[in-house]
Amino acid sequence: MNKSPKTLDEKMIVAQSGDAKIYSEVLQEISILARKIISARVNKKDDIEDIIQEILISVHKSRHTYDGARPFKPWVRAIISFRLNDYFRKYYKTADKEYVDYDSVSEQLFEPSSQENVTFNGYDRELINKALANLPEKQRNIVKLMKIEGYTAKEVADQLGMSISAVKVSAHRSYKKLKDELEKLIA
Amino acid sequence: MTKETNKLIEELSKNIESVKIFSPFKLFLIWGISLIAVALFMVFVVRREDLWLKLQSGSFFSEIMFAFATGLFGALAASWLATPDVKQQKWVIWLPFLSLTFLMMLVAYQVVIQPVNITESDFGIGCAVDIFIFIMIPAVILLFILRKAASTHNILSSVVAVISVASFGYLCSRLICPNDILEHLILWHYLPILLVAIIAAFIGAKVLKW
Repeated sequence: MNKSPKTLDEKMIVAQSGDAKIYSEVLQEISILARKIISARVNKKDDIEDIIQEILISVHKSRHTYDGARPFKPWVRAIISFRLNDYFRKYYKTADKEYVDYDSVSEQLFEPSSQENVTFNGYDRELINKALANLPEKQRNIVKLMKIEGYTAKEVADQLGMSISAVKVSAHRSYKKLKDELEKLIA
Repeated sequence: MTKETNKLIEELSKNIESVKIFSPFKLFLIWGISLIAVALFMVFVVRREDLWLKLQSGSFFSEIMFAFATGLFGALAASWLATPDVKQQKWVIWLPFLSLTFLMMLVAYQVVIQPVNITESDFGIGCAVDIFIFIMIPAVILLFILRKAASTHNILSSVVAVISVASFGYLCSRLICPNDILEHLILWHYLPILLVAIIAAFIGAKVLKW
């Protein structure tokens, strides 16, 4: 009678020879290991699940490259970090796009819709003031200085003792927050 | 674990078949033997007329040996890098860079000790074409084989594979071209190699992505 494999290394060798049951066990164990590693670095639950699934598919595709003479965990960890890096690369690429979107949020909010500049693109000034009041003080100041009083990012940076890039980043976040607050008020 | 992940595991393990294990050593062996065979063919069949005489010169001999070593080490590193965990011997990656550094130092030394006048260079488009063929054909074959494995370092993998084929191209061009004038070497050997290597490495990085 064949001795049943106990360690992950032994199980993978058996799985490579085509044992579906053992292979399923290997994948289960990999998903547990991957979850432990990914959860420490990624917060979003859905994303964690997506990465685990990507890893399982990658393990499946590359299972012929595992050499039974070497420990299994470094092999699978290499795949986990490869897919995790892939995720972060895509994540930050998308984050860059969102960064650009904040500009359009600012345009949407502050493009004057009438010559008197009484309303901001359909939003009532009173409503804007209410929404502004819900913003943290620092964000509120930056929005007021840049969009209501018309200071440039450099001037705001000088006034508040911040770097220009920090002002810009904070401004983008503030516009997004302001838009959310406005939507809440309208609803 | 979510339902989707469980379902995926079930699907992946459902119709599993036994796999043929990828051997980086075997790939290196095939690549190394091909390299030696082509180099021997160059030496004994299409060699430059003064090859035996040239080999007696220390600097030329060292140049050939370093190019050969870089080709072999590059193939070794590319084969090892084809597995996700680099066969758990990451030090192998440094070997081609080490021998390439020596080769570059040797070439740089020749450039320093000889006066260079590019305008007086012989026209040598034939050498550039030879180099293109010597590099591109092996590069395509090597990248195609590497693609069947699963490298988790696609850029590095592509770079070392290209270092291997580029030094192989360099070696072949030095074994068959009788022109040792530095201007000719820079214009028609080094520059084409650099150009083709950059293009190949760029394509390789894309090809090896999985």
